[in-house]
Amino acid sequence: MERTTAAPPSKREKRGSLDRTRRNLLKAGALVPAGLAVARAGSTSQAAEAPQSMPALPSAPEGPMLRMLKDLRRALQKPVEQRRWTMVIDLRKCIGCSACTVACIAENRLPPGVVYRPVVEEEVGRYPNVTRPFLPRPCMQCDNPPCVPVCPVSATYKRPDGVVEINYEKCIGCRYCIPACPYGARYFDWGENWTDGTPARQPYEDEPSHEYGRVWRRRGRGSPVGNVRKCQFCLHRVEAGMLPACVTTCVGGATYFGDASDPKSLVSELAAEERAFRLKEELGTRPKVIYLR
Amino acid sequence: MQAEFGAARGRAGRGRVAAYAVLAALGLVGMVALALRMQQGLRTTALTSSVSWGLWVALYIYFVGLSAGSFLLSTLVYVFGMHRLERVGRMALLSAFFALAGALIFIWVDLGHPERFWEVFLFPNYRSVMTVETFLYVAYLILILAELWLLMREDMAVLGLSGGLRGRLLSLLSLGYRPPADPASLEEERRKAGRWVKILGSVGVPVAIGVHGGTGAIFAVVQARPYWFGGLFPIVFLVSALASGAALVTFLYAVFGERDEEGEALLRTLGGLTVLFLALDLLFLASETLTALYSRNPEHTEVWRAMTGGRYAAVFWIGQLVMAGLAPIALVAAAGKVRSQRLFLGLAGAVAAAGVLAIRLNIVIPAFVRPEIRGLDTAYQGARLAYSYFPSFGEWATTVGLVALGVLAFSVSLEVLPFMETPEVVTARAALLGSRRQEG
Amino acid sequence: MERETKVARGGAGEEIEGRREFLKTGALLGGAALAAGAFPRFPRLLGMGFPPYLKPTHPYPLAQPENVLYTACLQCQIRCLLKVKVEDGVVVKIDGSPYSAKQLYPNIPYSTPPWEAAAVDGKICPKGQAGVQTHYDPYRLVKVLKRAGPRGSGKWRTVDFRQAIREVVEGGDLFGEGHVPGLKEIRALKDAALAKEMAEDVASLRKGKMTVEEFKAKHRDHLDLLIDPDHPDLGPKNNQFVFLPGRINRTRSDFAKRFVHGALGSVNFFPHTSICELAIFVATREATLDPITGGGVMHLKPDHANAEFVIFWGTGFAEANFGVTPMAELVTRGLVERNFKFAVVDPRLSKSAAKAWKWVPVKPGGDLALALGMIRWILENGRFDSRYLENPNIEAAKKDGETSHTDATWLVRTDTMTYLRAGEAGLPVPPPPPAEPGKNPPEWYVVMTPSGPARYDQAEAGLLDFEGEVRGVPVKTVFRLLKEKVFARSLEEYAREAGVEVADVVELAREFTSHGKKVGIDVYRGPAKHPFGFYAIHAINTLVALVGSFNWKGGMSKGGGGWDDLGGKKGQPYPVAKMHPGKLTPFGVNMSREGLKYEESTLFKRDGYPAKRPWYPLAFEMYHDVIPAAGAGYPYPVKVLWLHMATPAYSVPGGGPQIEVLKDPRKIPLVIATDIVIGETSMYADYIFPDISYLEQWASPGDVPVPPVKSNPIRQPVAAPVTEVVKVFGEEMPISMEAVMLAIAEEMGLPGFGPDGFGPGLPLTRPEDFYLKIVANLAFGDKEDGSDSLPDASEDELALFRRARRHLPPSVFQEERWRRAVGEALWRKVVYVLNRGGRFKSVESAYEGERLSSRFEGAFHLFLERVSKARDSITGKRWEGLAGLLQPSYSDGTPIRQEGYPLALITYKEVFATQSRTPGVYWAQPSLAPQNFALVNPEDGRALGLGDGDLVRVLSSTLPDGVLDLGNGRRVALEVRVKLTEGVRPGTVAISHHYGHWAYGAHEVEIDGVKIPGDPRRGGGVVVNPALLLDSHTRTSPVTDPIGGSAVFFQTRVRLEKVT
Ligand SMILES: Nc1nc2c(c(=O)[nH]1)N[C@H]1C(S)=C(S)[C@@H](COP(=O)(O)OP(=O)(O)OC[C@H]3O[C@@H](n4cnc5c(=O)[nH]c(N)nc54)[C@H](O)[C@@H]3O)O[C@H]1N2
Ligand SMILES: Nc1nc2c(c(=O)[nH]1)N[C@H]1C(S)=C(S)[C@@H](COP(=O)(O)OP(=O)(O)OC[C@H]3O[C@@H](n4cnc5c(=O)[nH]c(N)nc54)[C@H](O)[C@@H]3O)O[C@H]1N2
Ligand code: SF4
Ligand code: SF4
Ligand code: SF4
Ligand code: SF4
Ligand code: SF4
Ligand SMILES: [Mo]
Repeated sequence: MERTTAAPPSKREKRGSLDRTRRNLLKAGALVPAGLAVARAGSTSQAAEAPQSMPALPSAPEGPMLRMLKDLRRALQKPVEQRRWTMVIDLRKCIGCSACTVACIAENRLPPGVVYRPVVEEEVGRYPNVTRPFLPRPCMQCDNPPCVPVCPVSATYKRPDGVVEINYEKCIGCRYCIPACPYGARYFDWGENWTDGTPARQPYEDEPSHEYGRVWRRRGRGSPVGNVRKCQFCLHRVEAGMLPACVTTCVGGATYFGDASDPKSLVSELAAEERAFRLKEELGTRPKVIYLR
Repeated sequence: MQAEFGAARGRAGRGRVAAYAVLAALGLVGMVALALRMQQGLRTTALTSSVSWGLWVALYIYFVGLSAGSFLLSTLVYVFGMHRLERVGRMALLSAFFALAGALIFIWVDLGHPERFWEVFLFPNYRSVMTVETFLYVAYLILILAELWLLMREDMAVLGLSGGLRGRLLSLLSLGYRPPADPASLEEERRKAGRWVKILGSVGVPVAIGVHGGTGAIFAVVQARPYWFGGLFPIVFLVSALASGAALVTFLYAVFGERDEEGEALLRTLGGLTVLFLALDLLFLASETLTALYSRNPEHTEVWRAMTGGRYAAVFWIGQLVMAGLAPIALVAAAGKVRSQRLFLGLAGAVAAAGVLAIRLNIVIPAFVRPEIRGLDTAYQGARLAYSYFPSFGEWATTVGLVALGVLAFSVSLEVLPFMETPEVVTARAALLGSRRQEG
Repeated sequence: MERETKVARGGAGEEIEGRREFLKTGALLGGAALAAGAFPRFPRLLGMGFPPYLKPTHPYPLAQPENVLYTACLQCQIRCLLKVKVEDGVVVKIDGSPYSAKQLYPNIPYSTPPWEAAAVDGKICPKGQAGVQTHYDPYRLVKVLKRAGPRGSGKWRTVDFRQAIREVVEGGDLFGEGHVPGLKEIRALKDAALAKEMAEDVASLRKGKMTVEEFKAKHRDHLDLLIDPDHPDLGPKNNQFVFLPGRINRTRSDFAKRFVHGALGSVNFFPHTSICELAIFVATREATLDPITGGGVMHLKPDHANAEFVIFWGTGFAEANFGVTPMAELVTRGLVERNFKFAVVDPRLSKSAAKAWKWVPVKPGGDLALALGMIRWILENGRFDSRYLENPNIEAAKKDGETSHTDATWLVRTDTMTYLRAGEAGLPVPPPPPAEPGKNPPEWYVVMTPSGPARYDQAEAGLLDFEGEVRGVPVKTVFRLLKEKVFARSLEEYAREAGVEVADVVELAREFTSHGKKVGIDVYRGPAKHPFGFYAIHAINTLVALVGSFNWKGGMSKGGGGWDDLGGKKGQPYPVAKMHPGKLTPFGVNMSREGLKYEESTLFKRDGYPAKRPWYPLAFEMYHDVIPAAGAGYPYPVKVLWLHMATPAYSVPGGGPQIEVLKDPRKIPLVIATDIVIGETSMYADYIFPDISYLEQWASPGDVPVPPVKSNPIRQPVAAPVTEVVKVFGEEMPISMEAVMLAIAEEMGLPGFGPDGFGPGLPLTRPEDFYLKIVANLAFGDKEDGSDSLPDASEDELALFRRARRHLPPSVFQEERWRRAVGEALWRKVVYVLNRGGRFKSVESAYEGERLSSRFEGAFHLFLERVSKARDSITGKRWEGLAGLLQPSYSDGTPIRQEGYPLALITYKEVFATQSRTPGVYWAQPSLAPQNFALVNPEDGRALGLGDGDLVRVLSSTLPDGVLDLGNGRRVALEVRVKLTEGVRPGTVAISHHYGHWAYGAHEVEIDGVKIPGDPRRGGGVVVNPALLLDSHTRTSPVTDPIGGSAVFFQTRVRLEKVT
């Protein structure tokens, strides 16, 4: 059966990823022309926090993307507790395409039942005066996160940079934090796969998630299967000097990311706009996702 | 093993063996389901990322309630000296024990990583009600065991002398306690034990309230769920806990209790208590429903609408309203006017105890049916994202199996341990005292 | 981290073993992992604890340039540039390439080395993001399938590739149902010289310069090669091979044409443009026609990034069109950061309309009336740019700072309804230049000046609004004709026909004429897919001409264009089409009767008017009436049909008749398909050859016109192939369309393929031989002297090029072999291109001051002479050269009435789905919306008794019972749930496309006796195409725009019947 309709991975080159990536990294280091040499984020004390090689940025006409990348690289020079990662979503620019939703799923290798950033749509008005507002909903990375105190084992907590993290190794999967989140931003990894019930499981489903700069292979019941998962602002990309996946792929150019503690950053500028508001502010959660109306 | 005990006690009814066999068979099915669940993870459930808690959590709080209710009932005897209830004291404690054990098992099987449960003790987060509760459960468990031991140590020791498998087990459980032979010291020991029981019971009262009210607080502190959030919630939890506890003990006593005049009176008292708690519960329900509906705030009204009109309307109308309300109340009211009072009261207890499960289901599940943000239910769809839930076969099977095993264990305990003033206990005690006296 | 490390280090064998186990029993692997997962946690118990927060312990592999490859998307037609990221040899993530302005605006400089581009991701849409699941689709075909039951039965057996090729070539009793002709039999005419001669004689025949008798006499020895010697213009038997490539892309189509036209000698090659946007192409081309080349611009798009006002007309920027990905941000930035405004004309509140300054919910098909109303108001109120319109030629225009002009001042003879020629006006005409192949002599038009008639090229300006006589011939200016035409109806009438208020027409027209040259109209399928879609588009184009915003920054653009990668320019290294020894000249009538005047055919002499089936003199790439015509044997029967990336049964309006023909081997004896799955149409094939997915394919697909930046994407293999690897011409390659063509060519010894395919010593034995030459042309550039060529890739780039392809097996990537295909001199330049996924200019380069760099510098014709001269093959009547109000009718002119069907049905595309192709892209279509809905206005809901969530069946005059017969015992009911919404015009029901799959992995099939169950997630919702209107004359093909040739989608009325 799988011989005829499945994509057999037999021709595929299969090797240990960590191994090879390391090896190749070394090679890359050797090969990338001098002068472009790998920049290390953070100087002395923070070196350990971002041990990633960061390719230099192109000299480009500065659109918002390159500006944000530069903001981000600047923030990474600071100690982690001085960064304040913030997302700004301009709802006038959001076209409700859900590219961010899918990008996030692909980036974080999310299984069925887990979606970090759905885009909610409404219909408002009567014919012919009707509109359809769209609202992307990542985790708000609340400054006062109600999902945190409920966790019996402190597996979820606010990081020094403000991102609310889940340590999958620690999480016992009680799912108490799910109802505690007023935004519905938490999901459980049921251990299911996209190709369940089809002729063959596909190779991409065996590739690990890189969340938090670690390697999470979904196999059997090992974490992150059996854990609660949620948007983590793509820290693994951010700490590698890249913007979150939903930001880079935002088709409407509506999503911004950066360090709000840096007054020169684009997000700081946008967050100060009069249009700014936060979801369910009345709950006192103090989200770090700021919407522009 | 049961047969042996049964035979030993000369009460080996065929029906009982059959009942045990059925329970064991159900237990076996449940264990297979449980094994599958352990092997495959929670995908064997019908839970979703939106309805993250379901049957098992409902059962967990149900059994916690049952336990706390039974325990509080026992304190009426041991703390508040309502000697009328003396006869059900130990049974109430034992059911409190088994109910709590059941509760813990249900919450444990509900964990995504059950193998990590110990983390709660090693890395506790005291800001989490769930953590605090876990510690309370442990304390509470120890308390019940201590009380039970104190209450039964003498009888266990006495019966332990009779040898055989049961004897050896009982003497083991008596932890080497040997009742003094002379009546004075015995009375003294008994008095001391009684005092300890009273102390433990007194400590137990707040603990049990904490255990169940606190379990209510697990929900009540969740601001994100207006249906749960609020100060009244733990109280409602307690009242329905008491109702279920009273109902359970009513039922148990109707089945296992002494069939004498005193017993009948006791049963009436129990029935009355059950009705009182159920009525209170209904009052709370009415108050909550009416204020919620009056608010016209969809955050409130939609939950009630889902509960009373949706797919699970039966759980509300039949389960919560009839079984955990009108039916037992009517049965208890009618019991006074019929000859088979025991049957009516027992039935009332059984129906009410089962009905409280509906209350529990309706505490957990409806809170999840409303998307946190309007439109979230259709923004991205899939079986595991649905805002609706009906337990899977695996969940049912596991549940039935675990409950069956619990009932089995409870029944066996009832048989093995000296719970009631059976003639056997009396003789054994007398024999012991007699022999001691001879020795002396 | 020990645990992960251990797992990751596991050898290849281990992992593949694991997967196989998983396939056998889901339980086993899970069990093993329970134990494995539980144990290493004990160290924690022993006091190791957890860190206060997680710090990265592992480099992010997707940030490494060696794990990134660049290619072009084909999830939809926008050809976005992709950054494909590979981990462990598996494609895991797809992002946008920052080299392309479609993905990053402004884009990074082309010279940026790939390692600097690695950290910069660009945008792509949801279906692009989910491309991994198109490539790794569990229902993808790997081996050749041959049917093991009647056509469409869903029973298959796998066959050896070589054997299948042999059977297709040789024919024979292949299915135990009698003789099936093979390609050998069909390729009757093999002699290139003879083909050329016959082709020329047929051309003479058509022009009346030769009679049938003369032809027969001249070719009496070869009459057996013809389909019908009495009708030599039908062409050779070779034409009985038909290639129907739906969504084939540029250059892949050149490869296929080499095979179909040049090697097999058939004229029949039909991509799906007629069900796509064809009327737009034809109308725009006719309006921009260059009389010398006979060509024109196919479409014009606004320069969204700089416009002040745009009307999105039957389209938008947030769902389909020329790409949500490139367009949306240009609009949203304008909305928030500039004074940009836009209106949307659409019966449905699209995602774009939701953001619009004004939503105009036009009546379906009311677009022509709306445009005419606007024209009327603009003319009446003098809001047109008369200075622009008065320019009769480009020189005059340039003096005004314009770069285009119109024919508004040109004179038309009202007796013949053709342009007045200088000769007719007695004006001197220069001698014609020496004839050049493919070029017509120039035409000399006439304008009226205050000093009398003048040749259009000699006047500074012409009178706009003129009527009179020139040498006794009655003439009017085009402007006057336009005015008369639109003034024939009142503004109220137009508004009524359009289903809008007069005030809406006026407001739209006023706004449109209030922004100078910074306005545009973005038009797509909405107004085009109607019986008179051609005129609707022409009227809309006319609106633009009235303000003359062509070529202006912020105005209308023809797109940034690309380079001539086919080597058509002098000095380019590989003119691939010309490098074809033994190439046959195909000739004869094609199956869809396109690009040919009926009156010139011998069939006209036989049948007269009406023609048995319509002919389309101005249209091309007509897809929808090929199979039904084959069923009718008109113009001649078809013997072999090859479906490639095509699904007419699903995507054509009224697909039932397509199925009826396909399922019947007597109608078409041999049907083969190249497909990646068993699709809704390929399920009727006799053989399905697996194709490679877009992540394994080659192509230089060209680019969309938005933004107007010069760009040439290259699609190249970035994923290891999934299909079986076979040997063709002694070379290993995965089965693909190209491999099948090569293998047939090898089997039959076809010219243009093989070791000397491009000429002596120049092999075409594998796909790269062809496509890399195209890349080489691109790298060389358009300048003869090579001054446009790219730099050589550095050693570092070369090393990266190799390393990034380390997961590609030799059946795809052999550096040596690739290098040989382009030659040493160009190799490094080719690497430079491939390392960037194409060749791109910067956004900045798209503008020269206030003008666009890429311009249409000809005349825009308000009057379409070629149309005016042509006749309708059914009615025999002449068409009109200007747009006026029309009522929808069937091909024979009878008006379309559909009584008893209260709702007008329209369809639309979802942003997260593509045509028929995304039901298995689980991350997107089935999750973002598992099913589609019938969008109904609550007002209609009340009137028709339809509630939210009701299940209804879609009934139409085509499908009165709402059930499609698949001809294999299965019947598909067209059922869908109602969604009441204020966002649709009352009287209209909108149902999105993409859903209702009856194959494509949604339904069980049987292969080699093994039943493979379908996946219900892939079958949600409904496809309404089977219910769409059929033409009353042909009865088996959809209603079609007679001029634009485009199939009609938005003219059907339906009844929604509740299913209980
Ligand atoms: N109702 C309605 N109908 C429509 C439309 C609409 O908006 N509404 N849109 C119309 C438009 S604009 C168009 S362009 C047409 C498109 O119509 P078609 O060209 O007929 O259809 P496609 O969906 O592009 O894909 C054709 C088939 O190609 C196969 N396929 C997919 N990928 C590959 C591949 O990589 N290689 C090969 N060899 N085969 C592949 C699949 O079987 C797929 O079904 O549909 C039209 N039909
Ligand atoms: N997401 C996505 N994007 C795509 C594609 C895809 O499949 N998916 N396909 C690509 C292809 S091949 C093409 S051809 C383009 C097509 O791009 P579009 O033409 O933009 O898309 P369609 O959905 O075919 O267009 C129909 C639109 O016109 C509206 N409409 C229907 N009837 C009428 C009418 O009578 N008058 C007016 N004014 N509007 C009407 C519909 O509501 C809908 O909004 O999209 C391309 N882009
Ligand atoms: S949005 Fe929800 S999950 Fe995220 S931090 Fe706030 S409460 Fe926690
Ligand atoms: S599911 Fe995990 S993160 Fe959430 S509360 Fe439970 S242990 Fe904490
Ligand atoms: S920041 Fe990353 S994880 Fe969060 S929604 Fe965006 S893509 Fe997903
Ligand atoms: S990608 Fe951007 S525009 Fe599209 S839905 Fe997400 S936030 Fe909105
Ligand atoms: S718009 Fe089309 S081409 Fe571009 S990324 Fe999306 S699917 Fe691919
Ligand atoms: Mo199309």
